[in-house]
Amino acid sequence: MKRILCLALALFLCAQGAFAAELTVGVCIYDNTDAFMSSMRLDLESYAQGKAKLIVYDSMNDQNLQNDQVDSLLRENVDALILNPADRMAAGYLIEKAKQRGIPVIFINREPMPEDLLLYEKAYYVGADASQSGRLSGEILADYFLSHPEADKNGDGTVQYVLLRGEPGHQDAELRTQYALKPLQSAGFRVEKLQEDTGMWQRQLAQDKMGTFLSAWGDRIECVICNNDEMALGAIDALKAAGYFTGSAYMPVVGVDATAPALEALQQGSLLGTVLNDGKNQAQAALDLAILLSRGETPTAQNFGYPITNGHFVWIPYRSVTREILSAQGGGT
Amino acid sequence: MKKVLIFAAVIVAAALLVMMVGFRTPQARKETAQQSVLLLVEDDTGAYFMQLRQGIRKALSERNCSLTTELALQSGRLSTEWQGREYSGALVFIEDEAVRRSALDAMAENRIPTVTIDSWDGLHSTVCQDETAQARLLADAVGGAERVYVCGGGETLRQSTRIALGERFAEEGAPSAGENCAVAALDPEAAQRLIEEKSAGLWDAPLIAVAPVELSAAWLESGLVQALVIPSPYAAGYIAASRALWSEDASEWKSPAFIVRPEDMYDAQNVKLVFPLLN
Amino acid sequence: MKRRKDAGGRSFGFQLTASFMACMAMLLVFIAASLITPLSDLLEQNAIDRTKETVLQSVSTMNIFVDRLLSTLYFSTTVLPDDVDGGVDGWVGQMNLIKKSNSDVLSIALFHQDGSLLGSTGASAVSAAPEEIRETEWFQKALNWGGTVTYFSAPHVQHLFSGQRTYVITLARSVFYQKGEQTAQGVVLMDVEYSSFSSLIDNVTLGSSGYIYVLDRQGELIAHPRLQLIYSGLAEENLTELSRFWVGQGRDEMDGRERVLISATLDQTRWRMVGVAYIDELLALQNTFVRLIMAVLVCAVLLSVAVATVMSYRLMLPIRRFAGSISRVESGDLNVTIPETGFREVRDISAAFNRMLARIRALMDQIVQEQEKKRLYELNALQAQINPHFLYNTLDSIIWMEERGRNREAIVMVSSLAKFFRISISKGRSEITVREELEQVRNYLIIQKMRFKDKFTYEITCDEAALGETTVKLIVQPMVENVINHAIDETQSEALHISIHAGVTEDELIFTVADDGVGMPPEVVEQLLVAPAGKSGIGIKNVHERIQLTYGEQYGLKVESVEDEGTTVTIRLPRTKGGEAG
Repeated sequence: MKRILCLALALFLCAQGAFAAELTVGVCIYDNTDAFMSSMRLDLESYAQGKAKLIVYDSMNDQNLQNDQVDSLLRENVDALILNPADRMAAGYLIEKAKQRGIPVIFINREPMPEDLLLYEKAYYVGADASQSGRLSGEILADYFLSHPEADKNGDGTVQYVLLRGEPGHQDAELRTQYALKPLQSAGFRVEKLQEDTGMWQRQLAQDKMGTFLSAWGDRIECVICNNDEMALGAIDALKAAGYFTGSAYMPVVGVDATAPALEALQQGSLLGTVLNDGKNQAQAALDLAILLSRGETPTAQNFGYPITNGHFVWIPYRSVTREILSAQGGGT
Repeated sequence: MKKVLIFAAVIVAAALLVMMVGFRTPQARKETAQQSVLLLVEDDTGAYFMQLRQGIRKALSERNCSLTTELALQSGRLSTEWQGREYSGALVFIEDEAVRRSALDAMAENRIPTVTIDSWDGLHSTVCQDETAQARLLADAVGGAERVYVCGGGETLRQSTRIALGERFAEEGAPSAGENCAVAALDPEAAQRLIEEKSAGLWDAPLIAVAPVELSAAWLESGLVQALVIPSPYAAGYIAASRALWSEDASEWKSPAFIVRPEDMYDAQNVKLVFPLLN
Repeated sequence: MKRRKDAGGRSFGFQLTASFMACMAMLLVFIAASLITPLSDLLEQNAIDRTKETVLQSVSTMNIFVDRLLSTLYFSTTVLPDDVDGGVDGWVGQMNLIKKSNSDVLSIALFHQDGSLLGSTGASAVSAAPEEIRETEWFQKALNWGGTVTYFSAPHVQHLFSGQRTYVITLARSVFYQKGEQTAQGVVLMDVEYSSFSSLIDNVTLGSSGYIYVLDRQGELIAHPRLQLIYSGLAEENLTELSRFWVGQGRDEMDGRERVLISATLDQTRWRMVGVAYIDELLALQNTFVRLIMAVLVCAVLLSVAVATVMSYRLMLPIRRFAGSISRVESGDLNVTIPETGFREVRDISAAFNRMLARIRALMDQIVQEQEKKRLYELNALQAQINPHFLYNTLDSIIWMEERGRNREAIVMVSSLAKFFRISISKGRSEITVREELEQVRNYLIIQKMRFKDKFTYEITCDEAALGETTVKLIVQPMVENVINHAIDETQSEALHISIHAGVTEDELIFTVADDGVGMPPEVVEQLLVAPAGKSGIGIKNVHERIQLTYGEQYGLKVESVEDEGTTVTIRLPRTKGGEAG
């Protein structure tokens, strides 16, 4: 009887050991209702199969809830944290917590202040450079205006645009707005802002705002720049209601994200172009980094497949998506 | 049988007693009738008084007491409006000795424990400006000056300054050009006069002053003073209404003073002294 | 009435009370222990959770306030003129409108990236030179952060605008605008009344002494109910624990009181809001609860003591009564009937005891009866011996002898008669020695021999060992008398021989009276022992009964008779001296 007990105990301990060998990574997503983050979460979960055990929390856009979730993950002794903060300014405190524990913390999609990341050698940010997404969408427009001189309806060498901004103060909104104009200027055009307003990343609101723009400016609008695809689709809805996209009435509209409905609009010809935010690669990079660091290894070109900038940043490039590019790829991303 | 029944009855009585004690609902914090404290002043205007009263109010709010301010009449008699209420303490801030005396007598008559502010008579607890500290701060501020012309100020403050400066102490006078000296003003009138003299170019030397709070900002920004020693009436009021008022025996409490220079007058620490929150 | 001493030992009643109490106590302690800890933990957690809710409420209020400020600031950046070189009056006008509708905002100003003021709601000029402005933290940080992040200052006195000296929190943010042909960068500054922030924390109380305060990323206090006291050096706030856990929940101690700290982040500002609650206040409810449970516990224990005592007393009552009754029996009163009341077990014992008492009484009665019977038989035997016939005949014989002058024979007869009667009476004893019994028979036979002369012969023998044995008196002579009365056959010419023998075995004393007379038929033998005393006087039955009454039913006499040959009567008694006792 005693022997059986000893055997059982030994097996149990081995099993514990086996479980301990598998890495646990705690993940907090700022809000599961965000379409992009929701799909990135799925990417994380599928990529983690067989590599690490994930504990995933939805922070419901409440930073203090996320703070509690991080406390809970630390109590469960996770080996690494992948965090998507609701308030990126609060990231500094979470980095301090991770630093105290000595576990790596990787931020995704919402960028902490650089001075916070610099505090801790195992703090990283994996994301896409929003300025690049702005520039790429600007380039799509620039290419269009260059190849379609009739797009400058009043022929004044100036592109009259309306802009639908993301959430005020949001880093992506700011950078995309700033950088979207640069390619046009580099291409030799002047730019004139007729009006801009915020669509808060939402389709319906963007549709309303676009309606306002149309009432105010009507045909003078030469293009519509949107900080994301949802708002672009909203603008397209308003344009369609005003008679565009039937017959020869066309308005170049660009967005960012390359969501499925946007790709459909691309195919249909209502959306001029969009930019892919490569969530899949971001997820993979984040997880690879987390696993590497929690094993105590340093990421190098040999063991980590993505370039690291300034010791703390992993920029995953955006990619332009237009109908031509799509058909060249044979449809889909 | 009877013995047993009596024994059982006694025990049941004990049990009932325990129940009554245990089930006593925690005395809902008996709204202790809110205590009231009286503040007697000569003049209820002025930044010094405002800050003093703010400090008093802060201390009393922490103890759930209310404050009533009453003016002492010039004639030496007090208005009688404050009578008719129970006061658990009184604070007297009156400069004129006679008026103060009658106020203190009135308080003693009604057996209200009293604390005086800025006046020490040995009978009541008092909160005074820490003149020794002020003198020391002054001495620090003059730095390497070999000679300090000290103007104005009350007896005790001059005495403390004399001690703090030692041999460098000099009576009032105008500095000569090129002299390694400093000028110290120990009261606002002297400071005002000296600032005017200095701005008129009559002499040039580092000027230190003990300043009341309402003039500090202007003087510091004028560029004419190198440092100001500012007493803290807010702290004085807080100490008076917190520690002094509830202490057992008459003792002298010191209210702190701070030194502020133009370059750091906007530091978070000093800014509250130089620019009081008046409300 | 003497009472025997108590047998001592533990009282069952006490044991009952004690066990009952021990059980109750264990049960109560178990309940209390298993209730108190989890419930008081629950209460403590509940109190802390509620405190946390209050803090998060204030966080939410502050967040909303800050959000409104940020929207205002953001709006100001969206309505910048197309070309600032053309003047910013329109913009300033709009800013003034904002100020009117937003009383928290004190001033809004726009600065160029070289530090020069482009326009403001406050004054047309600032009291600092552009170089100085370029050195300020708000300016530098705002430019560095490039318009995506708003800078929040700690509370300070804004002295940029001449004539204005108020406590503000400064927000600053970088903007891009057109300046002539170029896109330039500048900074929008917005001063917000500090009291708008401090009032959000001023009236919040957690418990009666708890409060909330706000501090920034570097640990500088932004707002605190005792901020002025802290600056005056009269009070302090303990921030060490916060740098241990940063955000979340923690505990520390100040002035001897333990406190709970709840730290939450405030959106967009990099600030934290910390709620401080005093544990002794939070746990007031818990303490009441524990006190309640303890009171109930103690009460229950006391009540159980009372109940146990009374109950066990009541239980013990029948048993005590029972013990009392037995004491009375012990004192000699055998007629007590114990009341058959109380518990079933007690009733059973009482009934059994009553039956036992009845049995004792019956046995005693029986003994008394038997003693009486014995006496009666003795009396009968005695009476029989003082049989008038024998006496008359013997006295007649004596007289006859006297008349004929046969004095010597007369003397022998008189003295034998005297000895005969003396032994019969034996001073009232029921038991005499074998020697005496045989002596009596001898005396009897001497007399009868003188009368019956040659009618019979006799011999009396005895074992040496039997002489000293004890026997019931008057058993052998009646047998011999029986023989003489019935066995002598007138017709027989031969003399009857009677042999009397007393002998002992290992544990019995045996008398035999044998004759060679006419014998008796078996039916008569049968009847002998049961027939009432007939003309034979007391007879066989008397002797047999007396022997059995005295010694038991295994002893007695046996008659064996063969017609015409003789009869032997065997009397068996237990040996009482020497040998095995009977």
